[in-house]
Amino acid sequence: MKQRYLIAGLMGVLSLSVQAKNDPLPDLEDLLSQQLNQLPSNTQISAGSRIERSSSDSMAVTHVITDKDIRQFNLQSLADILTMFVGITTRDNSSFIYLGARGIGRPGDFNSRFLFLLDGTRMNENLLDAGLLGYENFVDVGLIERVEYSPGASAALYGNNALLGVINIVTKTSSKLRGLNTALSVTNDDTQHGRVTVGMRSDSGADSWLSLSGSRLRSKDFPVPGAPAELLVWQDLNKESSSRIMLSHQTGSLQLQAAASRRQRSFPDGFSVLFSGGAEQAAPELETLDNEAYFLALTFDDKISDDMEAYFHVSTHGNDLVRSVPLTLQSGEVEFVRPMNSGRWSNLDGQLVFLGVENHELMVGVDFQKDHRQEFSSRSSLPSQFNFEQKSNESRYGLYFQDLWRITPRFKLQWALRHDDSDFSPARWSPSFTLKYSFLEGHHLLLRHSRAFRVANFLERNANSVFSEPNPQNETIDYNELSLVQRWSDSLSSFATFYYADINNLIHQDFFRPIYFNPPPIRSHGFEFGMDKRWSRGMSLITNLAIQRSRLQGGFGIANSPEFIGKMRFSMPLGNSDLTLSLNTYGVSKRRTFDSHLPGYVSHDISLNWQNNPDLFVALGVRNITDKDILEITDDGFTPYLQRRRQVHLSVNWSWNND
Amino acid sequence: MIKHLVALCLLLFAGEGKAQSLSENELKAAFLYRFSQFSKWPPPPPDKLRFCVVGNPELYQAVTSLLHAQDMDDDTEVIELPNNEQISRCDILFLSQQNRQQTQYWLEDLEQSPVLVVSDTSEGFRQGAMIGLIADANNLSFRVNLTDAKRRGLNFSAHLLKLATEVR
Repeated sequence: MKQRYLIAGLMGVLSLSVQAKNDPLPDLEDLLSQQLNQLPSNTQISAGSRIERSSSDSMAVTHVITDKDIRQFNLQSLADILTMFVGITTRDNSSFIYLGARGIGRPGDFNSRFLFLLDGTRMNENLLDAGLLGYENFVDVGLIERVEYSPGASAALYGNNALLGVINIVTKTSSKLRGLNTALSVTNDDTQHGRVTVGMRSDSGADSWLSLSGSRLRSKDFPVPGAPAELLVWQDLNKESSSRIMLSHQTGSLQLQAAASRRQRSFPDGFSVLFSGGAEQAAPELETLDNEAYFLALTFDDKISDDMEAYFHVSTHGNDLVRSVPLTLQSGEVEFVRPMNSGRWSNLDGQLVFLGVENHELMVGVDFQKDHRQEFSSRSSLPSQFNFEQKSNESRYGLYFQDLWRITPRFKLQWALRHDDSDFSPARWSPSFTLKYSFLEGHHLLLRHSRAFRVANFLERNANSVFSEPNPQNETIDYNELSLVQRWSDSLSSFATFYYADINNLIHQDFFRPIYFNPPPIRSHGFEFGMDKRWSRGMSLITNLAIQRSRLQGGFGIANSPEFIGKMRFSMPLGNSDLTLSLNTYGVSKRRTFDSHLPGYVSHDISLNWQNNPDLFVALGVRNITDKDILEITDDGFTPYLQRRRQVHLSVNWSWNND
Repeated sequence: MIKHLVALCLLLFAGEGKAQSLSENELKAAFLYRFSQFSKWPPPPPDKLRFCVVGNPELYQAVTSLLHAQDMDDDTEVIELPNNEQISRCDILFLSQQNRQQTQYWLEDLEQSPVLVVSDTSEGFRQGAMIGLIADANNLSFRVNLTDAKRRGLNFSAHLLKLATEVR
């Protein structure tokens, strides 16, 4: 019987290989969809150097997740994408998703220690410098061409917030969004998501697309383990909806982008559920969150003379978050307090690249941000401390210079220096030096030293001023890195990074009062390793491991700092069936919290994808297949939140193109 | 159980034959050939298309093999350029793995000649190649600088422009 299987298999292989040899040369469209079954010698990245460079020429280690990975592993949000990167962890309290890396995942930091870029446009908002990772982010994952993550301190080019890493989201063009492009996904826990995109390319090459998307989570599980029965009754009131619109128009060297998003979140107020007192429970009061954001950006990017490239960018942004919080008064009446965060800001950036000096690639640039509005306010009909209004505005400037010097074909030095100043913070210098030695073809050694900072944001300044406390000092990091990037063959590559950082003044919220202070210095070091293996049949295996240790001066550990984070993703086509099987495994060691430890965990996701033509793609998968309880702390409270519960999801992508 | 496993293994093994598995350089050569078909040179059209390759001997081999397999030996010629002295002979110039200043070197004597310049780096594309054939982790895609191409009297078919990731 076994022989029969073997013979049948061999016949199949032979017939298919004969068929392959007789194939005519594919047309251009087929060539574009041909998968590289080997590692490309070069890819294009920009996050590491603030300028487009080939990966082999890059002076920083940059990790990339592509749209193919996003579809293959059915990733639903930016948080899902970032979780694939080496050493990154996310923590979700169902209102906000927090990011941690390099041993730093401070509770309540709103991701302000990462710089987020969308096609080069700075996206951190201007009150908390927050980076948004959930459905409130402007970009639907279906519009993402790739996400680049360049870990380490990069303030010498980017200034504020580029403390732990730079994350650049690159969107697709109409070559992939041409015609009508739709996506629909549903999950077993009543999450629905839909997207419609219309794109066109004119005869002159002008590229335009418009995308609308919406998500609805109708009955979210309460994220707290052991939620009381009185609360579970009202789970259908725990819900979220979001909608997004984004457009892009590119003609020649100019690109216009605009986007808006709205996220509404509501959940039953715990106090009114648990202390309603009546025998028959009335519907509880709801606490709501309403987040609206927009941006409009115009960029020019081109070669302006034989020796010079230019990039200019102007954008304007807004972000409003309104909360409605029920307060049960002693009389039994309910009063609603409505705190609001409102930000408006504009960015103006310019950059010139000059090639006129032999073996040097010089770059000079300016960044300017005007915060037109920074406002915290609260409204209540009661005359109380709940009514307040704090406003500010600010100007921030940055001037930077970078030189890439190709000393010999194998030896390069890149140095950069940036000067930053702003209305509420002293001026700062941020240097960076990187040496790269290519000791063999495809084998590179990088040695990097850089310094970065994060200025106390409006929330941190404002909170302290309310309590007449001095502003916390700016965070600084002295960062050293040794990396080895190696391409062993057409099918195997690896990277290894050892880093060591001294972090001073990491701003932290006081446990007893809502003010911010600078704890003692932190010493952080770690090792990151990863490899990428391809097989000719389209099978691939990508693994990475982060070992990290961050300690306060005196040897005390810090919260949310796992020492081991391991990830593995594997995919393979299933025979001739147009099916691909993808597995994703993710493990994190135990983490310290304020008063205890959270257990380590290993979680597995599986996805089965079907695509028999470029226009239809179907994915069916299960996340956290063993339904492992994953607990994380997102603030300085004692309550851990449940993460990534088992979820069955089905996604369909369909395109219709009439040309 | 064992039968099922054997069957599954064979099924997986059979997958190898499914895709026409081209190496990266074979794929680039195929793209280059297709680009030549979708490009229009100013009159008079070249009697024999000369493909020049820089910086990548394997790509040179792949282009030579492909044109031979397509029965194009009489209508084409493939030249591997060691320096830019013979660059005026080229109708199509593929700059492989060249950075910004290396690209400048290759293009400095080209002036406004109608040579279709293709580069496989984003630096090469930004420095004057009309087509940037750039890889991501999984595929190759291409960008077109139509303004530069038109300046040199070259034009591309609407089909090529439609499939480009970006047209400048």
